[in-house]
Amino acid sequence: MSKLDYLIKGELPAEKPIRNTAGIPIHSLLDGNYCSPDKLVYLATVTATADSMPGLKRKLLVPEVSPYLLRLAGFDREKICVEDLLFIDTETTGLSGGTGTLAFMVGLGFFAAGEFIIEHYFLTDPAGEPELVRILTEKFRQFTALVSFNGKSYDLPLLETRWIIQGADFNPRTLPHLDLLPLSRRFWGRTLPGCSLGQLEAYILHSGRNPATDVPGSKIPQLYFEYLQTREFAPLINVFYHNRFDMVSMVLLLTLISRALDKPHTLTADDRVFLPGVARLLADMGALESARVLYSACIEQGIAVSQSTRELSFLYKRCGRRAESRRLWETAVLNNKTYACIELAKLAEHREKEYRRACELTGKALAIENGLSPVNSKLVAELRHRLQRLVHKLERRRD
Amino acid sequence: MTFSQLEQILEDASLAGNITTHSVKKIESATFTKLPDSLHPVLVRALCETGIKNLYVHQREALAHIASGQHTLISTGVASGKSLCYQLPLLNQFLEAPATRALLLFPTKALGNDQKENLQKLLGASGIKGAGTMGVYDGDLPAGRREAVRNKAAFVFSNPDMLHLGILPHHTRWAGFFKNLKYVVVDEVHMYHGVFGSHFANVLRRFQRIAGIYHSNPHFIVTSATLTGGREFVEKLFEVKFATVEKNTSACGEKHFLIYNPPLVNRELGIRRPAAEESLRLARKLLRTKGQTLIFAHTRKAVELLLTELRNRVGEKGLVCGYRSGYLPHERRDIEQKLRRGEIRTVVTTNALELGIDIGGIDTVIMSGYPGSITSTKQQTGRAGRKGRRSLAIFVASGGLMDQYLVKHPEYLLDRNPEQALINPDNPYILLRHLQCAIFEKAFTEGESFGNLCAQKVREFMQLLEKIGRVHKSRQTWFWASDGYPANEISLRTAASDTYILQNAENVVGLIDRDSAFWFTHPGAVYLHNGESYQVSSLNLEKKTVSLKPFQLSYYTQAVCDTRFELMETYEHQRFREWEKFAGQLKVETRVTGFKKLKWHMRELLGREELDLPPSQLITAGCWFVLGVELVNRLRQEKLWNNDANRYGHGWEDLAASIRERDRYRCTNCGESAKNSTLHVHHKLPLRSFSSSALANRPENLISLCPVCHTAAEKQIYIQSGLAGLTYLLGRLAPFSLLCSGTDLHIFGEARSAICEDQPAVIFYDSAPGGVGLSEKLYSLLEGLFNRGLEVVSDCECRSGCPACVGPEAENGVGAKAPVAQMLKYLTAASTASDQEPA
Repeated sequence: MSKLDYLIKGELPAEKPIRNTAGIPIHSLLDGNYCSPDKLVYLATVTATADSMPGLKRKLLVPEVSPYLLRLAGFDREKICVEDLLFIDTETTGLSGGTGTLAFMVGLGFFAAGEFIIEHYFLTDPAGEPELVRILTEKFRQFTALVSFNGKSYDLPLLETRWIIQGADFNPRTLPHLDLLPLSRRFWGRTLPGCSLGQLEAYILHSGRNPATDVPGSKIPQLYFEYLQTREFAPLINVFYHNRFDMVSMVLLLTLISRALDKPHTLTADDRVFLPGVARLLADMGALESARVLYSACIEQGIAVSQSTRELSFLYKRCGRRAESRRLWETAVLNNKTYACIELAKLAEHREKEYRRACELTGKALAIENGLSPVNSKLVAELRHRLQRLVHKLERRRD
Repeated sequence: MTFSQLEQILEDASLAGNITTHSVKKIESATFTKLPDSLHPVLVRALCETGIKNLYVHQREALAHIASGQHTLISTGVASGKSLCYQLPLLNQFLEAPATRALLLFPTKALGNDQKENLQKLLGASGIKGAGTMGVYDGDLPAGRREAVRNKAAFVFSNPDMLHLGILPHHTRWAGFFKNLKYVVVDEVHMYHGVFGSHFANVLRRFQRIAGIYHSNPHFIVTSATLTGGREFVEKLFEVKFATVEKNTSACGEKHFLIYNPPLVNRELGIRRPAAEESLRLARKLLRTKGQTLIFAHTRKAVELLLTELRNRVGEKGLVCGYRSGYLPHERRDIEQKLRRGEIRTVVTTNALELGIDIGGIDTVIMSGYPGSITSTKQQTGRAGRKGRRSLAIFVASGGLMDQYLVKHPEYLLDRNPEQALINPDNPYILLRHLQCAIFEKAFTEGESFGNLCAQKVREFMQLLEKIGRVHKSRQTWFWASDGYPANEISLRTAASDTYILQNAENVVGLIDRDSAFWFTHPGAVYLHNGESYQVSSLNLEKKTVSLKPFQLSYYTQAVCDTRFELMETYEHQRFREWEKFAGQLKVETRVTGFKKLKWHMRELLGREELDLPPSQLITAGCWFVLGVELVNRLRQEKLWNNDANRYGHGWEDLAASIRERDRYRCTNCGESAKNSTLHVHHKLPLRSFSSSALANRPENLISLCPVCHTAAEKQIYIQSGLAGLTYLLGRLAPFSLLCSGTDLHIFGEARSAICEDQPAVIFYDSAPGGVGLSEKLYSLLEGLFNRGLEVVSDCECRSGCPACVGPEAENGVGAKAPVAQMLKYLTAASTASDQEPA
């Protein structure tokens, strides 16, 4: 017992950790090569096929990336084809962030000759990081842009930290980057309970990740630390499966979103629920006419009618097509929609100077809102204020 | 005709008669020198515009040190223009190379904000553009605005906690900042002592290491108003060589320091008027002048009581304000501004205004009761004084032992240096935690040292961390191998805890920390805030809120608290012939069990209510020793043991009843009538001073007193018990052996201690949860501590006790010097090796 041992009283593990015993090494379990003689970085390459992806239920196609998406991510649309995209997903030693967190495995995916190739770069020891950074820098330079799921706020800042610590003269964060998470939020955020990759797989992609061979993200750091102690690779196999499936889900997501944007009519009946989301994204990107067509189609086909009506009415308002927006609001007022009452009241007050009608509409909006639970007190206060102003205007007119 | 503050007091005989000491420090004129040529012309113009055409000699000296690339300590006293000593080099550097960066660390957020505004003014005067040049980076900064500060601000105002928790563990986000970092300013450096200072020293080691990654070698500019042994201290804290500037050449007006002892209201019993009431009298007197007054009180409640009283007696309520922690930040900023603009005349405050927040010049400072340390007294006194004008500081003594001692021995207050700042950066507990942070920030290579900690030591700690699986070693390097965030495991300050929000209906009134919430805002408590009184209707432990309702003040409340020790585990134990020592883990449980309702002014007890609040628990390391039965018996025989319960003698209850009847059920001091049971019967000469209870209980030695007067009377004839004296002495000496500060280690003397079979014991325990090794270290130093104690007592020239040895003796009481000396003789004799018995 060392003379400092009293400091860690109570923190010593019950069993003495097994250290550096000859566990089954990575190369016995996973096809691949060490990147250098010191065996600190291991590269395992796999082509995503039905065989290599047990459980996968969706067919993996080469995505035709929508020009809208490319524009959204800030790419120059003329110069990019799918082979220029590098899909990326990292596995790390912690979720709390900070300079002590390593990316012990970096998964990269790309299309070559119509196939999706996944490369896993794995640190058999943290001491291999300088080498990993060097190899990946080369790799990044071969591609034009990155595709990730939540990479903008998680993977890339973390990689940037690692690159800075290794003193590299390259920063992966500066590459053009399409992050599918914020995009998915715009599509499905209002309809799904959440937009994690797992939730998207369950509700939208139906991709069939096999829970038996998967591993929850929160368990991953501990598995790696145990590997460092025991050098036993077997428990980490599922982390590779997990990462591989994340990559494939990204491709599926990109394919689906692209098709929804470019060829909404080809969507299956199941996938049409997110057409209003597509329309919204198109409108946000300035493709107002495409958005209008899509919203109208939604209303006709009975897809999220009330949401589509509302968004289309504001789209018309934005384009200055007052007659069309007014028509939609008048229908919506019959369905007791507060927003429509307010918009019509605005028109009545400011344009038509029909204060009495504006009063009635505002009164109706107040009645609707007061009947809701919970009451939106801020909105109610605004409505009261509006009503007061209108009553005042009416009285002045009488004088 | 307007009198100056001093004359107002000296000409009022009813006040002047109570002044026991009046010391005057003569005017000192400033020595000026011209602005250095190296100063950028823009800066020279800006200085001229703010009216600065010259510098004090010491300021120029500081600039020269800094310009020559030396780390510089500026310790030139309160209000000597220290801020300019760092502001000028920073701005100069910024004008010459706008890409350079500076980090400014302040011990509190309020101070950081305040100093930022000051620099902003100078920047404004220079016409330097760029709103993003300065940024405060503290816990209050919304996440969305952090990136802007990191990337754009040339001057980052922060605090050590943020450096530790937010900046260093994410240093790559600060890469650009570190690369261009030129200066680090550390203000009020005397604050970094004890455990807090030892933590900070390690944060600085981590900081230096990270700066190294970015090839930056920043210069430290360090300031303090009250620092003893300045250079030695900062060189230990920063582990670099410092140039120092200590001679103050600024103008100094005549400084008057008064010690004011409140008059006796009962000569026979030695009871004096309360310090608070006399402070009020003085403050009211001073309100007649145009000057500004600051009143320092000890507690937040004392501030509110003084404030309420003072406001009741002035016409314009806005002239008098309170200031303390718990007020909302914008309220505080508002008060500071009004003080500077002269819109407020009197502010009643806790030590919250002690540090260098800019409030402009104050004419008079009143300290209601001894602030507790010489450092604090000097800081508070230093608040008085405007450029070159006469200033006045008044210490109003309370009836407490320490205060009354200072009245008799003013030299203790006037001639002594501030307490020495002690730190121990190599405390193993603190080191172990910071090394984890350091390795999280950057892997350690074999052979790497950590500040002044040699590579061999670092290695030992790394091996320890390997054992518990926190780090992984390969290729001569230790890597962090845990998914934790080690900085979260350390709080640099032990007093960190949850904040509760005080609400009146929907409005946020103020803030309070958890432990204080139990003390001051338990259900039913009367809570005073900025002179308004409220009653607490509920305390919500889950939502961390306190609901208040306005309340007409007719009484106030005082929490009743109970502290008990519980032994969790004994780590070490050694038995000597006449005493035993232990080290182990203790649970210190403090519970607010109820509260008393007290009548405003008279402190008469109106009622008592029980409360059911969860205890606050501190599980920490402790070290204690027990006096053996034989030792105590011997002291008893020598009449040097006075910790036994008073034995009032046969028939005491009947006797007491007859005394109450004789005094017609009235307090013989204040005349307050009271029911039979609430009236105490008091021994004029203490029971302990008689050889038998029969002599002590003669009716002429007995009088009836109300509880309030009884407490006041007891203070004056207090017989310091030997055990209390020993506790006092060892409590004062221990920090010197451990290099910690007085608040890092608590000490408690118990005549019948529950943790050692009701034997008399003295208990030391770490104030930081879990302990930082102080008590454990003390366990091995105990015998040495006894020897030092004995030396101190033998060498002290006082009669029977003073603050420098076993504690002050009461005005008519008896000090504990003799019993303590005897106890220590027995303890030291009994701990020689030959007397040892196996445990």
